[in-house]
Amino acid sequence: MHSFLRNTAAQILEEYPDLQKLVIVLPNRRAGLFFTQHLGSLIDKPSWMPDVKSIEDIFYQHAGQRPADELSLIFELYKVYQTLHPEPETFDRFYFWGEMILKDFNDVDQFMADASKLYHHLSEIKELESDLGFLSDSQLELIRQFWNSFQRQDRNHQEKFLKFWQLLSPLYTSFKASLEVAGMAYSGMLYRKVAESLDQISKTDKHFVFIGFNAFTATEEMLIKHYITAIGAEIFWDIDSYYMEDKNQEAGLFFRAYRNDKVFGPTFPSEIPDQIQNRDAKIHVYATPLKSNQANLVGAILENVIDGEDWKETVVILPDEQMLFPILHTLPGQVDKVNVTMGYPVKNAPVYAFLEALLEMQRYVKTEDGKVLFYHQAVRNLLSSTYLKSVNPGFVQKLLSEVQEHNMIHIPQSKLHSGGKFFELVFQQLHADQLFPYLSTLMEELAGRLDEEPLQRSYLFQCFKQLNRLREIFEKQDKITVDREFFIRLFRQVFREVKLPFEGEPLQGLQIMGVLESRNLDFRRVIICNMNEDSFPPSGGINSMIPFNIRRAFGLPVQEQNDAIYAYTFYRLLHSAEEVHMIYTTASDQGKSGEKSRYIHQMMVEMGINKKEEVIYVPIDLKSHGEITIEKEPEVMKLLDRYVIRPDGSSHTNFSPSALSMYMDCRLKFYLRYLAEIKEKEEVKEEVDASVFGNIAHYSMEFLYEGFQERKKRVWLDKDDFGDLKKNWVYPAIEKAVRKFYHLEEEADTKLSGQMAIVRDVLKKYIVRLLEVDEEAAPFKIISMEQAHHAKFEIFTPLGNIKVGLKGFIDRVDEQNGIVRLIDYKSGGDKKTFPHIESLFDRDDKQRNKAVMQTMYYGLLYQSMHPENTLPLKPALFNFKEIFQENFNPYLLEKSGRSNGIEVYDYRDYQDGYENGLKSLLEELYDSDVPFDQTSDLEKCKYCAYKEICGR
Amino acid sequence: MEHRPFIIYKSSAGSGKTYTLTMEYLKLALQHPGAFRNILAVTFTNKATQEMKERILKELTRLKTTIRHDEKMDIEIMKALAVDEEGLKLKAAESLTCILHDYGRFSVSTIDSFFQKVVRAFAREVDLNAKFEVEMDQDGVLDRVVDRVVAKVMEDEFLHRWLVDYAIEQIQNGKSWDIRRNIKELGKQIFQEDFKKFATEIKEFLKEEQHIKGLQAFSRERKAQIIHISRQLKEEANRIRIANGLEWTDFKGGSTSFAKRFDKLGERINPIPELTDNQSQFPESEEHWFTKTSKNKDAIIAAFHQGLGHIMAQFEPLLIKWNTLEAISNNIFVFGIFRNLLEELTLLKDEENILLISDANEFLKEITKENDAPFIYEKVGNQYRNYLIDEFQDTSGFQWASFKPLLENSFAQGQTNLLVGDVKQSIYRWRGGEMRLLLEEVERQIGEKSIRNEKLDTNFRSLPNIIAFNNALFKKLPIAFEDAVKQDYLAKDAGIISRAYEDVHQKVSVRKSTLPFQGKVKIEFLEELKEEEEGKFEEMALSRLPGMVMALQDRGYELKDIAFLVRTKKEGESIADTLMAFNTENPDSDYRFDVLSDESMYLHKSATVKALLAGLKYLHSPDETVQFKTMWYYCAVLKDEPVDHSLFALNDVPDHLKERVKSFQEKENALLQLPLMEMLEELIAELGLQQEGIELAYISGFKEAVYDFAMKNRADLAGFLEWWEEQQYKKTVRIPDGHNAMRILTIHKSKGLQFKVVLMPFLKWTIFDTGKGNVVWSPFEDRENQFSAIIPLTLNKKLAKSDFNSTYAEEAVLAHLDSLNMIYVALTRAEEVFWGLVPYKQEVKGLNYLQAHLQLLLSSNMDTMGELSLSEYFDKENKVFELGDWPEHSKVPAKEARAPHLRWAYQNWTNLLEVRKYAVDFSEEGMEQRKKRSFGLLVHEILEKSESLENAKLQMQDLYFEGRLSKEEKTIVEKQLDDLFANPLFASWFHSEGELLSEQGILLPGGKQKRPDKIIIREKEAIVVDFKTGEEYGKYEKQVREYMHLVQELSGKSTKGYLCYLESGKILEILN
Ligand code: SF4
Repeated sequence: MHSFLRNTAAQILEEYPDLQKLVIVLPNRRAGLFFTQHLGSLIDKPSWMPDVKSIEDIFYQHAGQRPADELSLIFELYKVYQTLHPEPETFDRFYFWGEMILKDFNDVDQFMADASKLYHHLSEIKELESDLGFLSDSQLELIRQFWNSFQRQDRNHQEKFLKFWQLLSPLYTSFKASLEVAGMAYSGMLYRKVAESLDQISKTDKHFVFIGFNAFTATEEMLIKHYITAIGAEIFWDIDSYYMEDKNQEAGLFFRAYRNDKVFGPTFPSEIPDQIQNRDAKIHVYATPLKSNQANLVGAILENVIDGEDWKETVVILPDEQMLFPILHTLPGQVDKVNVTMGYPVKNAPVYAFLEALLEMQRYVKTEDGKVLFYHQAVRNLLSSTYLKSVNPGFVQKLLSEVQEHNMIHIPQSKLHSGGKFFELVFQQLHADQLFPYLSTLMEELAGRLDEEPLQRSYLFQCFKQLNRLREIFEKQDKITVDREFFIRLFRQVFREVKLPFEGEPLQGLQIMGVLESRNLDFRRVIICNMNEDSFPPSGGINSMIPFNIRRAFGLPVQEQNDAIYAYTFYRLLHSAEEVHMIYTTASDQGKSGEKSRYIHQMMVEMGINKKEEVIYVPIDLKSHGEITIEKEPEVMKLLDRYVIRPDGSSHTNFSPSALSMYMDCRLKFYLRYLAEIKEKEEVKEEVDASVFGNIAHYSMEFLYEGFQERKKRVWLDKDDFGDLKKNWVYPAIEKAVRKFYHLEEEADTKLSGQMAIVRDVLKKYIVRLLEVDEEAAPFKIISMEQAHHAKFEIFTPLGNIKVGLKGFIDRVDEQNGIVRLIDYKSGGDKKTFPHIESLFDRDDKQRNKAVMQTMYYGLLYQSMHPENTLPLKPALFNFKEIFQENFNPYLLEKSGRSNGIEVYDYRDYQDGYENGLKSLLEELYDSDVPFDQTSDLEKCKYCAYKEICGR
Repeated sequence: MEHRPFIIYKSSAGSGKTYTLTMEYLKLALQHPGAFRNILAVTFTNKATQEMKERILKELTRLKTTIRHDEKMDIEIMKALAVDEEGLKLKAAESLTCILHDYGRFSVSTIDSFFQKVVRAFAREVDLNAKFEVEMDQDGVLDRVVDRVVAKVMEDEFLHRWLVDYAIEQIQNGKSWDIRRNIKELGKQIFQEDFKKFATEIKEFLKEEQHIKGLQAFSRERKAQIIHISRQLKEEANRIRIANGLEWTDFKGGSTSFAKRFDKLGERINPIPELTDNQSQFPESEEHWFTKTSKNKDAIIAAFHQGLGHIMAQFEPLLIKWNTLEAISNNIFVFGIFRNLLEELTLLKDEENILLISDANEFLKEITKENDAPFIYEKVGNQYRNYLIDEFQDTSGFQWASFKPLLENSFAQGQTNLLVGDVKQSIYRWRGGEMRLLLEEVERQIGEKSIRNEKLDTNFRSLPNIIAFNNALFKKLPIAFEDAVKQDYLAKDAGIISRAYEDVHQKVSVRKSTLPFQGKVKIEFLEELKEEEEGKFEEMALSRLPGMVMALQDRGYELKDIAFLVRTKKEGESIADTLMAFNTENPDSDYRFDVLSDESMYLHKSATVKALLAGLKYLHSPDETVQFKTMWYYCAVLKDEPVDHSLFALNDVPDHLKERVKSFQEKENALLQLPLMEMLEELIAELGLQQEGIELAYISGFKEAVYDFAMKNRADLAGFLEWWEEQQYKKTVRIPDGHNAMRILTIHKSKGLQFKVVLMPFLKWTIFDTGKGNVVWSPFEDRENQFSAIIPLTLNKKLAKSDFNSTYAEEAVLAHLDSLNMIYVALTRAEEVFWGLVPYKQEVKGLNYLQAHLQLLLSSNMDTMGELSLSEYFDKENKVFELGDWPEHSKVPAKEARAPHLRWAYQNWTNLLEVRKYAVDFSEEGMEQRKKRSFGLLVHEILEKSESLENAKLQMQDLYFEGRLSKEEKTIVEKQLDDLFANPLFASWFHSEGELLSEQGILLPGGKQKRPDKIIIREKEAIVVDFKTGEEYGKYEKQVREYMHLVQELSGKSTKGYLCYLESGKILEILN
């Protein structure tokens, strides 16, 4: 296989067998490793290794300094900015602009531009024109063109632009000065310094060889030329005539220029290799519907590789790092070694997610009456993470269910702290400046706990490292305040980039790498994923405060240069490839459009490839999951026995009206809920839904009348009692009800959430209205409230007659005017009419009136408990949705069609019909031939807790 | 001919719009090789962008070798450029190369991405943050905004009172008090252009709480007044009735008499009963009030004249007042907190550093207004001279306002610009599309003189019968629609409908006119069976589908030739479900039923995804038994295992699952410690879900969703589950083009596409659907109280009888146009066959339904001169419209599509790779060293790379910047270094005489390397040093000796060797 590095190594070895004196400079470390490896394969006895370096190394070595990290630099920049700008924005708003400005300054220096001229002002254009003599006419033209675009200067945006623009030149100067003082530098500044003092580079007896470079910055170019002319360095180019000789190929842009250069020109070989043209590689193009399907395809391609081939001659290029893990996960078994140049993204690690969650929690901490409270959502997420759970599983479990049960929106710190030391560490309310110590203590603490998790510890260490770094930087910035939000944002920003490198033998196994790391390396088989515009090449757009034409005029790189660099990395991969697989995805998302890469277009047109691209699709099939039917096997029948009255007159459990209603709605639902006993999901609800609202309303009424009875020591209510009730007792009753509902202690503070506060006020309206209705009905006597009522009910089954237990809580029983009223409060919009008694048990009737069925059920229960009763039993429904209507009437109405209907006066008039209906219902339930199956009415499934099981 | 630089192409469906656009593009681009850099072609979707690019490249590739003399494009380009064949070939070749190698400036782009590019370039000038992210999920943003507003209830007195009032009023009207939902519903408006147009005025109005309170009080008082008046009327009416000895049931109509309406006067919710159209005549004369035979005739006449007639005459005006007030107060509460919403939105955008996709238009408008075009180009870095805008009918007002200055600048320089579109295909009004621009506005604004109108009137897409059918239908349908709006909504200005359809007639292309098969249109009317439940038509239509698909296959159509068009995704879902179910039920069929849809095949439908999701939910909260059971249930389904009581019973597991459940439970904890993506992969493996090799497209889709989530968000399980709640209704399987299956797509998505056969099983919809709660902003003025405001009105029927009736009528007109356009788009997609199913009514009542119009037009003789007579093709008996015969193909054997081989098996990456360890990290040893503050390894790492003490400190500095050392630790290390260097022997290994080979080891043949920490070559001797940490070991000496041998050999000098223990500073000289 053709190999640039090996050929170069051989050539050098021939000329300079004394490797000790060699300094080899390569674009990156990886190429260095490969180079040394090749050298090793070419020698026959031990030898000194040459000194292998990157170009940065040389610059920093000459400068005697390394650049400071970006964040410190931006802080420094901001300090200077503050002194120059009349109204500087806050640091967090400045931050991203700072990044951009810094990058511009770096470019200015890297490309040896004269900053004071670059950032000159419009008004100075005339004098500059004479002064800009060092610029060519075409460059001048670009500058003029830019300034001419200011046709009218009164424009608001142009003003803004100019104001800022004027600031940049002084900013540049002062910033550099202040860095000098602080002993810091950014990399361009160092490069420039070295480039401006090349004459101070002392001669050496080492032989320098520069290998495989493409696009130099101006400073690099100066340095290398100096080495060539003054020190006799050599330079080797990694090129191909395919793009060198065709002036349209952007990949050859720089080389063509270098070949015409006085110094570089002679270093080019007289004959440019033409590997690409001659190789006639097999080229495959694939389109996949999803990004992740690329991995499935790569796996399949690798599977087809014949055993025994050397994996290191195959490379998988990943322009989008995100693909790394999907690819690793689908590698076939025959790949026994891989070498990956990218690292593990620490932000994916759960440990990191935990840390971020900790910070997020800080957003929602509050102090009320001296108590620190945490918001339930954040706390619950943390509690359910394995890090807290594993510390004190019992405590976490208990706390979680407590939070649930008490619907705790805010959780007091004291409660959390009882979990132990680690919990004390975690749940604190912090100022922005306490965040660092907090996190680092926690990290060390966590690391100590992750006993058997070496991987987790590694992730954690990376986080720790970064945190330390940030901390040091922040601590230096005493004058700049950073708020929590910014801290969190920055924390995220920094960690998004952190990668944990993999250990490994770089020179063995399948090679997986990013685009730029493939420089100078040669492979027989090349597989490239994400051959999409915006990935390879990556999306364009140079982020700069310097307008495009000004950049061009002053020789700073613009898109053209970027394009050339990427095109070169692409075509270089073809130098020795015999088999090329290019995969692009057609999925468009997140603004990226799934457009195939320009390189594919270029190759198709220019290499005369006419093989059609392969469209990869994944078969679309769906497993049908049939109906669920649970037969009444003996096991199931046994469960039904629990409702049967035993000889001692009791039953293990009873049918409630809602259970029966549920059975009518859907047999399977009844089964799942009451027989399989699969618990429904419960949540902490901030939104108060109808059922919560109903419950609180129930309690409120109970407390209200209970309180009345206690105070007045009587069960009768007269019309004049209501004024006082409405005025003075509604609010306390609601307060009490809320406490009861959320299981709050008497004295616990009931600071309500926003939504709750609204609910309370609304509820008050309701209760007052209810009292008005009662007032009209007064006088009446309260018989019971929220009391359980029981009945034994006989049915016939194949096994003989049995009795089953029925049970229900009647919201209120009162006696008014010689009538016993059985009252049910409903928070929904239940109707009070029903066509006839049979309809209550007709499961196919979509209008089946559950509320009526339930209030009638109370009749049955009441009568059965009070067989001696002779008064009429009148069911009544106080349904909140209607209660505000004028002429509100709580009584049931038997009514079909347009008739006027008959008000239900006495349950006993309906008793036979009702009991018959109930009987056949229960008999069906006990019929072993009728299985528990799914309802066919999808409406019923809408709010069913089991719809995930049923897939409805 | 004078030069008219502004060309407007009005292109009907199938008229070769892309062709024309490509041609026009090439005319400009071929002028000189780099000309393309100055052209911006704007398309509507990403997909269209790509297609356009591919098309241009394709034509250029062709043109560089072959010129066709019968090709309009070739001829026109040659003419426009004044070149001959060879000249064109050359130009094409040059331009193609230029484009391919400066591809970044090949500007074919969507409006959005162009706008974003500009806004980004001006971020600083329009006070945006650098690096803002574009947020597409506006619903999500709104959720967060509303949450923030509600959370402020306790702090903001006005807000609190206002919301409580709101909740109470909701309840009193028998509505849900869940105000959050309502707020979100209307709150969506803040992203709409319609609202933004008035935003300044509205903000001004809402600034003072007094204003909104005043408006509320105004409507409350007036409503109370009306109730009061109506109650008086009721009393009066009853007085008259009683005085005449009548019951309301004595009037005409008996127990359901219209007269009962008098008794309904004054009800709180609807105080004024509405009269039917018939009854609106009643107040005028008594003749409708009694039956001829009534014995109460005289009394009724008397009562009428005593005032009942007069009272009834007041119904209408009162109702109008009432409805007006209702309309105002309907949204008043939510409207009242718009200020809060907007404030929170601003804060949120700033905090999250986002730019809403809907804001881009607004910003751009500001930018193009505030700047001269050249300056914009300078900042953006691209100079555009020519604009080509496609789908112009869907451009919004803001978008046009943004473009206009740029276009004006361009044509002021005599440059060509091109707008292309078809008002008839404008179906994006709900997204702000403003078709009036294309219809007439642009012409008005730019001035007729600069504009050249071009019409494309030949249809190249469809066969003659299809064209003839559409020509005939769309001659009549617009008129029918227009009549309907005029009649039903009293719309005065409905002319826009026919204006939009003026040029609907299309010519048949020469090539298609002579083909043996002329195309077919079949529209079947299905009569619903009355006694069955509702939704019956849908059932009937669905049951027809398999038969239709089989019939088409018999006629030689392949699956990929067929497309189903639907109005809603839901309809698409039911079609997909039906056909997929049929496929499973008939595994041995000779026919195929594969369907594909990007829009309606939801991931969450798959058993695998359900099992996975349940598994994830269970892992997140293990006390959720429902999830646990759900997971195993679907595992059983996927493996065809029995589903019975033992599967569901609490604390029970069927025998065949015991092993797997146990293994799963053992892994639970380990799973939780994995990153999300790996957790998912492991879960798939653990449950064996990929083993069956089914539902792979769904698994892939789900994985992709997880990847996407993990990339953008904090990748934890809780967050994912929450995110998925919303996303599951959006995520569908993804399908590449070119797969042989039938497509299901909504009409909206079908725009610009064509298919051999188009099926529309649900050819029905409501034309003006007022049930959707759409909102219009309308000015309102109260002259008495002297205030005016712009308020949101929810569209509903009652507006017809209110002071807002003209707004309502205007909406009705536009809604009709929307519907008309929608059906136009649908019917013009077919190349060869269109086949639709329509519900049939014996008697057509109401014209607000598309199906009603279709039935009337197709079945009755209302033909237009010069067009096909539609009714001739209507078979009254079978209720089928059928034009054209089937083609003479026969069934092609269904080719089993072979899925390409892909690899699905999973393995954990840790089998292959390990992550790097660091000195003094959090590993067990590292922690130990940390505790002891022993940094030997670090010092080692530093020294190994250093040539001098200064250098070592520099390295140390690096570690510090890297974060591996804290400041405090740095001092410890620094001291250690100083201590070491204090030893002269130690120091002599660095910067002393001789050559120091640091980093530079010894290379062995084959590539192995030996790297003693230091090698120093002096004149007479060589020195080898190796640093060690921790305990002393004898084997270290051996190693150093080995180094010494090598060095001696290479340097040819006598070699000394040292071993240095870094913690203690102890140095051992190793003897040879
Ligand atoms: S989802 Fe529907 S079918 Fe399933 S249990 Fe619930 S109600 Fe029954």
